[in-house]
Amino acid sequence: MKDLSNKKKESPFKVPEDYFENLADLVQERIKTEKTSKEKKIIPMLKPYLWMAASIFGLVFIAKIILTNAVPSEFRNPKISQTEVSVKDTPNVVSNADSANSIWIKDALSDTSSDEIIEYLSDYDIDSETLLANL
Amino acid sequence: MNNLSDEEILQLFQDKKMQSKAFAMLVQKYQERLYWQIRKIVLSHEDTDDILQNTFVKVWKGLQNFRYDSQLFTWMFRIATNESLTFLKEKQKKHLGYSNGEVEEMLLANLESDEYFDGDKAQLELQKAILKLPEKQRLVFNMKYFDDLKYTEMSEILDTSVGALKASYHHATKKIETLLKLNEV
Repeated sequence: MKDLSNKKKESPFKVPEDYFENLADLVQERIKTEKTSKEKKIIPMLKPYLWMAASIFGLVFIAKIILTNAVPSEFRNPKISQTEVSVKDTPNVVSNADSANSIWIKDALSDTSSDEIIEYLSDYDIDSETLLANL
Repeated sequence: MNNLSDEEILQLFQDKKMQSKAFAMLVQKYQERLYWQIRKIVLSHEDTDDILQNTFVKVWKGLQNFRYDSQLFTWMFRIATNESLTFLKEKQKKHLGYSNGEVEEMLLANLESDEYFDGDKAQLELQKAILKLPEKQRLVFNMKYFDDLKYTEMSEILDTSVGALKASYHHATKKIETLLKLNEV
C-alpha cells in the first residue's frame, strides 16, 4: 500500500442521485437569472447619467432664457453669430451697424421739430445733394 | 443527438433558435469530467456544484467568441481549473490570516464530515497527502493519477511544458509515497 502503483484508483467521492440528470436545467436557469438581473442592473447604472444630462439641458435652457432677456431686441441678430463673422461678412456687419445707428438717429430726432432741423441744416450749409447722398 | 461532435454542437449553437438545446448538449457531454476535475481540487460536493455552474455560465458567455485556438474541452477544463483555484484563494481571503496549509486542513476537515465522501482510511490518508502538495503539483497529480490525462492535454490546460509536467508528477508521487510511508498506511 506504500507504493502508489499498488493503490486502487477508485474515487472515494460520491455524487447525489440524479445530480447529472438535472445539471443542464440548473445551468440554463442560472443563465436566465443572470440575463434578467443584468438587464435590471442597466437602468440603475444609467440613472446618474440621465440625471446629469437632464441637469445640463436644464442649465442650458435657463441660461438661454436669461441671455435672451438681458440683450435688447434691436441688438439681437440670430442670423449672425460670432463664429460666422469673417472678412467677407464685414460689409454686412457694417451695414447692420449703420442700420442700428439710423434707428438711434430716428429716435433722437423724434422730439425735434422740422423747422429746427431746416434751421440747423442751413446754418451748416449742407446742400440737398449731400443730404441725398447720405441717405 | 447526444453523439454530436464539438464542431457540430458549436455550429448548432450559432443558430439562435437552437442555442439552448446545443448548450444543454454541451453540458451533458462534459459535465462529469469537469465535475471530477473540480471536485478533486475543492473536495466538497457543495462547493464543486457551485463552481461547476459558474464554469458553465462562463462557458456560455465565452462560447460566442470561441475560436479553435485550443480544443473546446481543453478550454472548458482550463476555465474549471481557474474557477476552482480562485475559489480556494477567496476562501483563504475570507479566513484572513490563514496560511495555505490551514486552508487545506479546513478542506480536509470538511471532507471528513462530507456525506458525499465514501473513502476508507487509506483513501482518506491519500487525500491528506495530496493536500500537502504545492498547488501545481496537486493539479498535475490529480490529472495524471486519477484521470490519466495526456501530458500534451495537461500542457495546454495548465500552460506548462510537457517536461516540467513530467518532473512535477514525478516529484508529487515521491512526496506522496514518503508521506504514506510515514503514516504507515
